[in-house]
Amino acid sequence: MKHFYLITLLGCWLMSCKKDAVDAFGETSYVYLANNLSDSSSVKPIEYSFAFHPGANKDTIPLLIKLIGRLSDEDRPVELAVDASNTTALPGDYELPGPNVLRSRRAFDTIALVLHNSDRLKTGKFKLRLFLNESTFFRLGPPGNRYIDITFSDMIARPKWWNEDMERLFLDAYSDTKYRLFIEATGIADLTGATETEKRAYAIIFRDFLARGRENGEVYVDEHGQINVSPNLL
Amino acid sequence: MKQITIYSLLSGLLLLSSCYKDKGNYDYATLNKVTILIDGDANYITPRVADTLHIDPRLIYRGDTLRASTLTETFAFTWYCNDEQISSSPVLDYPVRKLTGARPYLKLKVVNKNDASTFLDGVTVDAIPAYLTGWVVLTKKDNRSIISFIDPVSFEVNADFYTTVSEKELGPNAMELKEIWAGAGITNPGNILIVRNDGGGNIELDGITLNAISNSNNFFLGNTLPPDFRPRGEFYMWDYTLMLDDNGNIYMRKHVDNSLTQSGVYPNKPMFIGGGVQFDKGWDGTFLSGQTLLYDKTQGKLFLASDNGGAVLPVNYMPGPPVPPGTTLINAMDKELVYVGRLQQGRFTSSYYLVFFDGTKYYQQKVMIMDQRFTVSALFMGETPLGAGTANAQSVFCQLPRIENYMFYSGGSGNKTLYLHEQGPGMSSEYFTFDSPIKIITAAQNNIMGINTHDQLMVALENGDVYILGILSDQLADPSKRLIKKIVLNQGLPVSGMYKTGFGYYQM
Repeated sequence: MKHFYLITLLGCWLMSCKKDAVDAFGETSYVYLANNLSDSSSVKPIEYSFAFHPGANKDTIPLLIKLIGRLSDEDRPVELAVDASNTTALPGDYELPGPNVLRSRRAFDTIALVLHNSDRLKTGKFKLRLFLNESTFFRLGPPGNRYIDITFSDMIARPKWWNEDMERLFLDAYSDTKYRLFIEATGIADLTGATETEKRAYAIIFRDFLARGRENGEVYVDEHGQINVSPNLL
Repeated sequence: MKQITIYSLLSGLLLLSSCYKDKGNYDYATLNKVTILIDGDANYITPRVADTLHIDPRLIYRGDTLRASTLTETFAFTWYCNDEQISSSPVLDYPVRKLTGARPYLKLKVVNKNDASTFLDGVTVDAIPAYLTGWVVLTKKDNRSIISFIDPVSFEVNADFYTTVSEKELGPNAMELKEIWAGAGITNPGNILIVRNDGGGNIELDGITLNAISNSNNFFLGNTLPPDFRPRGEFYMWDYTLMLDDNGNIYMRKHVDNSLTQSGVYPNKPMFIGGGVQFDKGWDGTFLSGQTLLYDKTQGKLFLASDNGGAVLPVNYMPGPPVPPGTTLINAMDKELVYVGRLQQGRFTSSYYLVFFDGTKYYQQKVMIMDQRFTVSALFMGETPLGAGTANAQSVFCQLPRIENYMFYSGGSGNKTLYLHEQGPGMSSEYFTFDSPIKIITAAQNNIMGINTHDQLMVALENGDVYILGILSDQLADPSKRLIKKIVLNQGLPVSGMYKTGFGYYQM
């Protein structure tokens, strides 16, 4: 008899584990954050550095939201808030200018997050967690897609592609200062997957950028001395 | 036992009988061997694709060497191309174009009608492609750029072939033709580069088929063209290619694989040359030289783009005795540099005739330019007036790269006369007079008695006519022998022309 009660109780517990199914075609609408249009897996954190956007005082990051449910003929507000307990950024470092809405007849939309650059960002990385709230218009989608972490800074670090070959053949010794100038000269920060001829072309553009700047009186130095490309760059 | 002995004897007899030698009586007739000589004793023949083969082979038979055409009563002949019968005549008359396969094997079977003895021999046909060598002319008519090919032997014209082959238009702004090779691909035929002074980019044509094979716009970093980009010139060296645009900017790319003409990407931002230098024009050095000359008209300076490391450096006179007073200085020109006549010399060191124009008179200065990797020096060899009383503001020039003594230029009344300037004695003389102004002069380069040299000149006139003139010694000596062919091209105003010389090693 005792075992019967135990089995019944276990059965009830297991019943309670039933997935809270999203009613995709019902009247209820769900909203969730997504990585991109074709990827609805748990949302990935965003890493952003102003170092890759030379001269930018602020930049806008579009946060993608997607709908589960039926399209509406009206814009519907989306409740997005800051999770202060998981945020190290100061209120002045960011803004959500809005309107935070899922526009009419759309199954996805973007919410603008504006990040502000400051000297503070040169020395540290700061985190901002934004989370979705339920509203009269939307229930929340999958738990892994209800919040997003954005870590931002103005810091730069040696990328993997700036390896020994890159130093020897094209860009010479790495420094953060040199990397910032390289990005300013070429408009590109990531040479992952670039061919040799592309790397050479970017290095030539950088070489000419330094020469042109120096002719105009600019001084380019880093911890290694004068900033230059590799002497093997031909 | 007796029986065993009898059987053994019988077996022995049978065995011995098998050793009996066959002394049959046969009548042998003497077989007369035939040796076939299709084209001498060569293993290859090299007709042009447009040719018709006419082969009357020689047969060495009974000690005599006789033409096949005289032996039809004795022999039957069958010709094969790659084992497919193409003729049963003793003399083969067959268009090269109809032979099948890339390098067809031509075989002749000769059968003696009396004894059915059969003999075979063959040659490989290594046909010269129809467009490997020949004259190429760029003209403009009705706002169209037209490119035509002229066969160097038959002078047959394939007019407006780009439109025919590619079913596209070149547009109105094509400005120059040149033959280009890949540095390590000198056993390949040269391709044709069409420089177009508009956003459409330069076009490279296959040197054999004349099909368009690439567009220079596709070889910029990130497939992004520099802003306001219109090519004014493109210069192919072994390891580097240089692009000059209308804004005076240059873009240099290194070939990743220099067995290909198109290899590597151009940076999409201009190359930096200090001192505000902008280039107005460029001239190819010889393919061997690895040099391209660039001209900054505003500052009156000559620069060298080098295949020896990809640098672009100013050209200065070698330190030494000063150049004579009144000389046009290549680093501070007081006249316009209008033409550069290259000479076939060495790699990284080569000589040029620089032709300057002061608005009324021409001067030519000979310099040897030495690329010393980090500096470029010019050895001054002299400056003289050129074409006094004959050359005019419309004059065009053509220095023969391989015969330094000869420079041709246009001049005279209405710019209708072709002059020959002999560099040695410094004399100009009238070479030929036409009925329309001269627009283009360009020289052929062919293998004459084992030497790559210049044998013909093409002169294209404003009225659309094209003349082929001979410039070999007998033609130089006798004016009546100079005119080889007049071609009524009728494709509009000539803009650029060249002789397509073929394989890259001809440029060595």
